[in-house]
Amino acid sequence: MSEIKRLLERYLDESITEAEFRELWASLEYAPKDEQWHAFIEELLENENIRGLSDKAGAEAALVRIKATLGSKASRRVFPLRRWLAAAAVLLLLAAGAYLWVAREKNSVVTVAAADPPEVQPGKEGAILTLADGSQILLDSIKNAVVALQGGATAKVVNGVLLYEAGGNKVVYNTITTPKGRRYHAVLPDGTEVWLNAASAIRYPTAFTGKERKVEINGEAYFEVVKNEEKPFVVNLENEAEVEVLGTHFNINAYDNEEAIRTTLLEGSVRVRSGMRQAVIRPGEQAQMRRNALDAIAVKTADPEKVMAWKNGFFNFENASLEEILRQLERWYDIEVVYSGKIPQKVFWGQMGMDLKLDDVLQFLERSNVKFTYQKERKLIVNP
Amino acid sequence: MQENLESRHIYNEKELAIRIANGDNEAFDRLFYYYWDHVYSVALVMSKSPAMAEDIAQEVFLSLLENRAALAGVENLKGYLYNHIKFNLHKRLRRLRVEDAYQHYLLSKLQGVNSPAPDDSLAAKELMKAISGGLELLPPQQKRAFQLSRWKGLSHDEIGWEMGISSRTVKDYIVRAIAFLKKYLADQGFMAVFCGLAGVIKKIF
Repeated sequence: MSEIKRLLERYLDESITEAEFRELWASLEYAPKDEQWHAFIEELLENENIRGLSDKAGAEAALVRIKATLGSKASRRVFPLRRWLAAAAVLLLLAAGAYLWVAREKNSVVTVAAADPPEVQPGKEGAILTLADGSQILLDSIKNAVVALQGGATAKVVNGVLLYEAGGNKVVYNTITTPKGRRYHAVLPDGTEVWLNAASAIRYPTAFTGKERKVEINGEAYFEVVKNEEKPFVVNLENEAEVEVLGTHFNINAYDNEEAIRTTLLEGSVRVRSGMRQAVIRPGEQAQMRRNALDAIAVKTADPEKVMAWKNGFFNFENASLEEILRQLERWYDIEVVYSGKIPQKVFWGQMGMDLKLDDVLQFLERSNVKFTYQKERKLIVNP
Repeated sequence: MQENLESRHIYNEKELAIRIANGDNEAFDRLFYYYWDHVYSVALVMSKSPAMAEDIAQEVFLSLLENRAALAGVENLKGYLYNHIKFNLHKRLRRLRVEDAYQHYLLSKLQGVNSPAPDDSLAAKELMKAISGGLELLPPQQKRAFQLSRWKGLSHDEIGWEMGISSRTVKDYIVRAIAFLKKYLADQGFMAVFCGLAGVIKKIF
């Protein structure tokens, strides 16, 4: 019997040890072992004892999905990695409390069904543009239009993206604000691209004339900054901290109700400043400043997939607490979450598309025995 | 329509392959319904996750359909399909980092079954009840092999001797029973939830 076969048999009947499991998984990376893996799979395929685990409804649904997916490559693999984790429902790891625990879907679904929740739709593209004179333009349904002329600069929307055409050097400030349930993509006057998550804002001049290109944000934004070494790009966070940039891709999460301001670098180099402290971070790192001690900057290794999930259109709930998840849902579904008692201390794993209706997302959480009641005026009660 | 397809065999593989290559939907459906259970069952046994198994099986047929032109030159349809399965399944497992894979393995392990619940929490009792319900749906031989292995702790050889079957078959029965129960529990809306502390897991199991 081949070594791989021996390990695979122990894996299949669940008697494998951790060391053996690691050995087995390491062999996946080792091409000379491919033959043994393939031989084992072939044996399983021929083994008539290993049959009959599928069901008709599943097969029919799969066939429909296969045909729908064929010819629309773009929609394949919404989640490039570990998508199955999401599909398997959100697996849950408890932070404390230490036993095998089982959540039952059906009971809790009944709770919500009884409350008869209206269908809460997911958020979508849209924002409010506030001009220097205080006038506001709703950018929600504008696909292509010139939206403002000010100080010589033209602001227009092209294919749903706000951008500027330069003209004149008069400095006037514009602000893009996304309410809850909206996100927006814009190109700043210097060509820098910014993606605003829900419940966020960015304030910037219609022309960058000074020594620095300075913008202010709150909430969460992802930047792809156009390189200009003579004019550093500086992001000001509510006058409490600053991120100085040369030319780079990075994400800043600075929501008031998150416990830390997190700057994550994907490409290039940035310097994070707060009070007397500063830190330079490299790609793949994250600078964290806790809300209750903003002048201490901690640099950690980031999980870029998790940080960038929102921009790529999904929720990443890997190792996320219930509160953390519900804060994200509040922003995206424009709801208010109220805890009627103690906050359930649960940690979740998994990913989900942001195009799901609220109810679909809640069902995942309910499987883990979290109970919700939906009330009018977009209020979601979490019961202990 | 599915019944019709399921009850027939694929008589002329070569012909079927050419029809699929030429875009004949009915021909593809026939191949799909004939082999779906093969592919899904093996993917479930190997991935230990009903959702992942569905994903893998779908991917196999989708890639087959996307490359259907190649089928025109295929002599051995089953061999061709099996190669797709081997390649896809192996690729998908390889994409999982060992940490994720091992965590998934621990989480999905039917461990509550072979030791009494660590406490008599309602949830643990409910799981045991559901597993008993699932066992009733298994063929009696498989149920017995599973019970002797997990509840009595007998070895495959001992079970084979007691049941009068080969230990090879005992192993197959247990593997299938595990996969069956996983799917059954998932369909019932169950999922096992554990504390993430390795030490605690060890203590319990």
